[in-house]
Amino acid sequence: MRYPIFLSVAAVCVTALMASSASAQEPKPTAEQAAVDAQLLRVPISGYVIGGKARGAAIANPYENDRTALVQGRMLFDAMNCSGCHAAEGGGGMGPPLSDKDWIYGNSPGNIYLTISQGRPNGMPSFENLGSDSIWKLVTYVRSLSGLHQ
Amino acid sequence: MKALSTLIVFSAAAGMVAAVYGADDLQNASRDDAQWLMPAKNYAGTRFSGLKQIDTGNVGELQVAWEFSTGVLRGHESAPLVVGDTMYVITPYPNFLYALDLKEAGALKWVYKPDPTRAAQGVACCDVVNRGAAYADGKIFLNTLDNYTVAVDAKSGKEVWRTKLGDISKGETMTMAPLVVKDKVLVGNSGGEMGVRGWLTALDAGSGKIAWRAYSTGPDKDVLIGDDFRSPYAKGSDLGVHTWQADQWRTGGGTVWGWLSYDPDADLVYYGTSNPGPWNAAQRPGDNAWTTALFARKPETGMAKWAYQLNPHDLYDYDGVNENVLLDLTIDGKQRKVLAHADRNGFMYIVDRLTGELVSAQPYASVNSISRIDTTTGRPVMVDAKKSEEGKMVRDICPAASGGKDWQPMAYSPQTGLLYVPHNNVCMDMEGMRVGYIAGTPFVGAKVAMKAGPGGYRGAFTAWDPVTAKKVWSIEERFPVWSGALVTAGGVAFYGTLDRWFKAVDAKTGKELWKFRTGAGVIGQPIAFQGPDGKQYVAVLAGPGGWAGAVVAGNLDTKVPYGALGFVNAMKDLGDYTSQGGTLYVFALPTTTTNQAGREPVHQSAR
Repeated sequence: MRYPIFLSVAAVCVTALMASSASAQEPKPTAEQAAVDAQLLRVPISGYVIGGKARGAAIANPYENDRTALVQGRMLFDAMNCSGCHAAEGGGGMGPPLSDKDWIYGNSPGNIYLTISQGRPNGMPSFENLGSDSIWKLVTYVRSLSGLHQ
Repeated sequence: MKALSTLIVFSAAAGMVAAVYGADDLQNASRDDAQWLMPAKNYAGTRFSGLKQIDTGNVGELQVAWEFSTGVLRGHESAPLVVGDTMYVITPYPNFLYALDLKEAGALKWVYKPDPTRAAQGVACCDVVNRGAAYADGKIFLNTLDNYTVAVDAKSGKEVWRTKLGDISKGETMTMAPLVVKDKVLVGNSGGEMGVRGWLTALDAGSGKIAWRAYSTGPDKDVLIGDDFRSPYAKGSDLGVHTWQADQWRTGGGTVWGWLSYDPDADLVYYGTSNPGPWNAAQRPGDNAWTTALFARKPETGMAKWAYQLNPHDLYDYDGVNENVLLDLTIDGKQRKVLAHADRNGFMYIVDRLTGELVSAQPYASVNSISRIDTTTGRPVMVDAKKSEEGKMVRDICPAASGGKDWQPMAYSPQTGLLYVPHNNVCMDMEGMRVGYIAGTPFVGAKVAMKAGPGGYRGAFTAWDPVTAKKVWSIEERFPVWSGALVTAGGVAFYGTLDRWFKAVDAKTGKELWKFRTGAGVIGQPIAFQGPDGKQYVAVLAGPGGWAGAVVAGNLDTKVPYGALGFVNAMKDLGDYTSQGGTLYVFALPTTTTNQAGREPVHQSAR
């Protein structure tokens, strides 16, 4: 690894966090987690559905309205260099703005979760190895940038 | 140098066929003003055209001969090429290469699509630009955003070879224009904001095989520094390691995303390296060699002859990649072979190009971060009150990270002896922040908000005398002048603006002679050529973007000052002046007012 020796405390924590969640010893997902994953994949994104109503439903962020998670999400936003691409306060740069009303891949908590976790083809990398807990905290912070319900 | 005069006579004649030049004939071929074979026109990088059909007296009558929409919306920084009766235009990502028939008012001959991976868009720091292609030996050479150098058959548009040079998952992209010297294609990487380790690479023009790679940081064996190397202002070996803490040089920047020039007599290639990573200088104690440095190298082997680090331990993202224009000047009664380099730090450096020694350095833009350049040490004398710091917002640093001038290349006229410098007047507030290196993500560590410089305007087009090291005249512009410059033997200098003007001014006085309202802001490099009909044309790409225009190109949020690495704060109103869109404009004089009487107007011959 080529990490410079002067890593910030936050980055060290995140690096450790990435290492643990990405390790081969990761436990098999519980039945509960598997159910959440299945639900996530059916979160509606545009409201445009062929052959009747959407069968999936919006999924709640476990950290919705959680002030502590909001602060942690903001720290992760800097520590994982999200702010490098999307800019401090989400004004955008290499990546699109997160502070405006235009959401390319949907603005519901489930949409944003999947965008962070899977990445997107036009340059958004996958942060799957961050683990679901951290990703939900990022969702809390990202939605707050445009004044959406936290 | 074979039989070039014959080729030039052929190509200057009407109805010419596409001439095939060997790569070692480019020096002579580039003297043919009918064509424009490389973005900077010639190896010296003067962007001077000897054509004079369009002059100060008639340029006011210039009109559109034909246009071409590129189908791409991002920043169009490239220069069109003209080879024989064909024009070649390369676009920003997805890096389309169009061939247009000059005998048919720009009819599309073919388009080559290199299909770069979409994910590369997320790795490019400052819009997904491309600064141009290059012609040699019957091929067009280009770089793709996802790190391929490609050779395309100039006649058929078929790919001849493609070579992968970098990796987007390490943050690398390629945006610069290649330079062909002898049998080698020279290319460099981008990614100084991503902790990329910078390099210049030479490929065999015939096969695409990598001949050598010279890194900007690391041990001398990687930087291709050997026994012949002399550095006038730095002593010691392996400075690319010892001027860093531990192995920070591995993620330390020094990318090569700007301009290359070449002196065939000295047989030296010249270029500059980018900022060190991260921007937060507190995280990288030391001089951080050889970032923000000028290099002179032998093209055959890549071995360095000299290097001169302009901004040791850079505090402000003052890259050293700006163009080096090679000039032979009489300074203080002495004949000097020099290069002129308008650095991001706001100073115009005149450097002896054989030794790397500083001749003079005077500010051409508003500077308060540096009091002067010490001619003994070659180093800037920093102003303490403006030094960037971690955890402290330092206000009103001039120039901003984008520099007194960024990539936008200047021109030089041997008639006036002046440099024509498109540049910025932008300052910034900057706060350093701790940042961790995560491969493939930004390695910046700074909160920046830019603003207009003293006087309230944000850009200028300045004529500069490199002998007296003084400004001759300057035109203030609303926005940073992010386009290249062109100057012609007709005594006219051309440039474009982000608020949708393409302008012609008197090269002697700066008096505005003509302007044309383009469809979108201009950041491209204007060129001049002679068409198969014998008429002189001037061409430029419109299409705003680049770092300065990212707010429009990327639809960024103007309510947040920190977008686009802080440039958004200075460019909030750009969307009031231009939208997106890439269009090529080709201008000529109307048939009735030139000596072309009796000819069909060119715009009517379109099919």
